[in-house]
Amino acid sequence: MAKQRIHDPSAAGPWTDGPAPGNPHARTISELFEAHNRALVSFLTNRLGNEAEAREVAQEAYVRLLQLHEPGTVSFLRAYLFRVATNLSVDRLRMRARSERYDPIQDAENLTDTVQPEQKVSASEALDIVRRALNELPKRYRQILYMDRLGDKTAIQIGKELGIGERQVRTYLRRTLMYCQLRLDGVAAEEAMDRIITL
Amino acid sequence: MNTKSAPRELEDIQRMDMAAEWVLLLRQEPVKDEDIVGWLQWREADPRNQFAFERAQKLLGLMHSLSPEEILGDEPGESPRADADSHAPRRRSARATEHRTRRWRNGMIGSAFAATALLALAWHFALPPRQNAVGEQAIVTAAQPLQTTQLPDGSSMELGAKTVVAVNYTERQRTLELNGGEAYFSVAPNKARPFVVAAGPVRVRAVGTAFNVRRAGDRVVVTVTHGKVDVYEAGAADEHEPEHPVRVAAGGQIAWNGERKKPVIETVDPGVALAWREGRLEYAAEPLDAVIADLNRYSRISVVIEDESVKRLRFTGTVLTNATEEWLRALPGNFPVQLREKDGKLILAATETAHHG
Repeated sequence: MAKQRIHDPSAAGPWTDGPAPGNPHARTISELFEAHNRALVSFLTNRLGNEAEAREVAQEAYVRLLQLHEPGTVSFLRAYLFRVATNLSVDRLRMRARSERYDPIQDAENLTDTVQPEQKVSASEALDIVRRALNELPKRYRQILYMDRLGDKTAIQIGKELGIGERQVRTYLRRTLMYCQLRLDGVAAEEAMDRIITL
Repeated sequence: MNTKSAPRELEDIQRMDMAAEWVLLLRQEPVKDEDIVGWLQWREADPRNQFAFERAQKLLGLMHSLSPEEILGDEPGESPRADADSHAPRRRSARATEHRTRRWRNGMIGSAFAATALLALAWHFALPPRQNAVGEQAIVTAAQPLQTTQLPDGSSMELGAKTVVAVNYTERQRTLELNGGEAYFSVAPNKARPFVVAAGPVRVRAVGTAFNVRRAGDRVVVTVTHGKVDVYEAGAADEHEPEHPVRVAAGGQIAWNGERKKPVIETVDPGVALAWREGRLEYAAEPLDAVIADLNRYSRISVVIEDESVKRLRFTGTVLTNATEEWLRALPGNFPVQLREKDGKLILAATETAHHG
């Protein structure tokens, strides 16, 4: 039995006496969590539109994982972690009042944070560029963005209303995203349009 | 010309396109497991992918927060019809998910309960009677949570970890002193002999009811599950007839923070406050120092908060009482805190960036 103990020099400190008695897999799970926490928070931010909330859900998903009695393999656990986090984010979205969502200036500040210094534009400039860029796009693009906006319709539902396929809906949205990014990066309107229609 | 910063390279354009595609795919409901796995692989393949993803996601957030007029432009009569008719299918899928989550959760509660119940232990100490005391006196403490203690009047209490309750029954009054920790009381009705829990600065008086009291220093949280209680501050001229008690009914919760302000009654799910009996501590926007005080009752290593800013952070979520250390270890990934060890204790401090912010 003693042979099963693997010496781990990094395990010094308060955790040396092993996982909590209630869960023999706690260490595996906390390693998994460390390896994937950034990805998980990124994934949840994308769904929730709010990083602080994404971090709370990530922490909660981790707790749920610790409640598993026979967690199985690491690849199972990873899928499970994201599955639990997805379910928790669905609950959050349902509870959240819609009015909280609309804060374009905050969103623009978040966006400009990710831009490299030499490209940096202010939040209000970015907001103006995006507003203008959207108006340069054909009506159908804007209409689909509008329908996607509240997050309560899937691409399939939007497609049904417009009589087009799910893939097409996503293509419109993807091109809209691309177009605005290119315009934010200083690409001229005509060239940006050429770029997106070849995608 | 700012050609320098413009992403003309095909590679950049493709990355941007993939990022946009992932942002859209991962927002779908239901999201497919193979999409998550595919995205993780793509994300890890190149650090620029992660950056591109976050940027696309923030841009979509920004576009979504624009007003309908800003998105659709000023073409009157062109706005798509109201979306009332398409709510139904979405709602159904959300409910299905909720059902799945709940079923899974219930299964967990049962096993967590069994594991902790096995460890339950308690000691009773008889104390020498005080002056003119009639009836019983005892100090009850539980090494592990979930010990139910029957009291001589037919009431009962369950104690949380490292919780000490001094029982002092006289003919006139049943007094229980909570010196720290958490306890759930089920009270046998007896109007002539009030049941009073003294928790630091707070008194809780019950008449045939059940309620939970959690105390960490001067923070006292009272949650009522059945009947009504009166809550009031200690130190009144006549402790038995307080001047301004606050009446809290079942489903109500009241929290003292060691301030002079009059506390507000909130409506809560009493199951949340009682989750500790099943091995879970559940919080909604609880100050982190109160969470850590609770956790210290369950953890083998004591945790000390170093910075005031960290104490004031709010925590929403669950702590499992048998995995407190793992919870702590995950905390720095998600909150602006760092964890280090010092003299056999764990120190929670603000991260550098938190100092600036």
